[in-house]
Amino acid sequence: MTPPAKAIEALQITKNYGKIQALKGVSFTVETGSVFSILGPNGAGKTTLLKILTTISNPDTGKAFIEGFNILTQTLEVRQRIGIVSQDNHFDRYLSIWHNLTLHAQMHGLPKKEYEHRITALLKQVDLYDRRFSLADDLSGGMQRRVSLIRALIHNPRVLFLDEPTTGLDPQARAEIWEMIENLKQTATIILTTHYMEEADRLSDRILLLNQGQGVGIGTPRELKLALTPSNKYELALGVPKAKDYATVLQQVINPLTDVPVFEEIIPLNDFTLEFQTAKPENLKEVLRHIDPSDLIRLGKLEANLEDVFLSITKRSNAQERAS
Amino acid sequence: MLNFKQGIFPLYQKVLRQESQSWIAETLTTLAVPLSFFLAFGLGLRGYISNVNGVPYLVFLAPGLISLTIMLEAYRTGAWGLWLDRWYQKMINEYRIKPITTSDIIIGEILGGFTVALFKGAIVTLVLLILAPVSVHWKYLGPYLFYMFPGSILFTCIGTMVGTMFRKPDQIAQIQTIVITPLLYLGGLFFPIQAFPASILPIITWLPTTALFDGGREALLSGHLTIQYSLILWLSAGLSFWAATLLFNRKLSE
Repeated sequence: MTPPAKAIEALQITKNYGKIQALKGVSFTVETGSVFSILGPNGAGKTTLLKILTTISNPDTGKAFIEGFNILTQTLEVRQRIGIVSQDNHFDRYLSIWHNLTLHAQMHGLPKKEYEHRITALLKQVDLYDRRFSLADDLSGGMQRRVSLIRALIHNPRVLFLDEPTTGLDPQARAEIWEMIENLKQTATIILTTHYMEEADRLSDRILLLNQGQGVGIGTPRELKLALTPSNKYELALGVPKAKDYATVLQQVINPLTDVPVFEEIIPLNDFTLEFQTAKPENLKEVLRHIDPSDLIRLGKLEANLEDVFLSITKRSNAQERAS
Repeated sequence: MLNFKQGIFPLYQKVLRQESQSWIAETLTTLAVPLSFFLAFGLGLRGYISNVNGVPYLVFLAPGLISLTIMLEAYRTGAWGLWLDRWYQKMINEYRIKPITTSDIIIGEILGGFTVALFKGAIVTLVLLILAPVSVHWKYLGPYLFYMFPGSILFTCIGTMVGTMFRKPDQIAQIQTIVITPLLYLGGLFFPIQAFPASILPIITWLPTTALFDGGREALLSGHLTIQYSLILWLSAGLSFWAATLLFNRKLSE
């Protein structure tokens, strides 16, 4: 059967906790087979949104569909199709890893032979088969995370929710999880919440920016970054060892020339960031006039990173919220 | 609709598996309370109390100690099991995203607690048979279990309700001290309920623990069942089962 084009469709979802409006009409769609990230500061409503989409909590108003199934009226069908890796590693600390996994496989209705085979294969895939009879507390944070991921995959979910999957992990363990996620893209639609911009940038096809319960931006990482890329910032890389000399020269050239340009920093010594107050093309031309073309390694507009986008949009949204 | 294969049974099996992980410690813990009472009251007072209601004091005491084990273990398994899963390990959150209902979850937990309690009652029975001059007529085991089944369900359900509601572990112990312990001492475990003043006796006879201790003793020693005790236990078991399921469903939907 061909999966529907939309893995998730959320329409005007609201949720209140008493007087607190956790979600204020969030809408978005996620295409099948893509990685969709939800970014937002603490308290933005990410976890609430995830709880609603995974049928743990009901929205006050609005609708959502997972592969065409209504999260409110077709709960069991939705649960059959989703897998979740929650923020913390929740395990039964009295049971071995093997029994933790078999319990969850049984709850998905898998036959014994099938789940034993699948759990064995998955554990071998993440190099934890030899630790299958260990208790969760005897595993490192990274290992526990991998087991959480396996648990979410036992029943071959069509949509996988990853709630801050790499929080608290060391860089090596994080890289392992990223690799696993990248491999999973081929078999499932992935919804990712994260605090790490680098993670969202690297893994996501599309990103929803959530702030104070509202969707404040949506698009591919590139679209979001381009929207905020300043037209007056340039990155200039020069050949060593002349870079230091250039720094002095350029400083002298730029100062009287432009509308108080900022000559930001030199890291490493042959890389410059030139920030003009306005985006006049002649500013750059004038700078280039003082550089020997053979010394020029790279010149381009300095692209905004996702963190800039995130900070800028949330700042704007907070200001609008305060004003209203 | 309930799902036995996918929901109730795996969770039932999980409770039994958890208990079996540390069975030596569990067995020793289970035996500690009834054996302490047996040594203190049964052996310590043996010289002072010879017969109670026509039977030796040790024989009078032994069935109550088995019932006591079932009651305490049912409460403990229900309360700590739910507390661990809901508040500490947060496993309930994991179960809730599986294609099963919340009723499946709570029923699996209750049946698990019920079975553990009965199993531990059986261990205490075996030890007391060795230590005390109790001769069990196996034909009376049926009537005794007729009381113990609902008793075990009742206290497992009370435990699960406590574990569902209270976030702090000390609250579980507080409920045990405030509710369970008084019920234990008022139910005729150590002495016949007829020893209570006539003014409070009608209240005492309607306590579920009286049905469990006094009724259980009568059932095990003579095979006799009373309608009142049967009604008290089966009705309160049914009521507590309904209340525990309702409370769990309600709390989880909040």
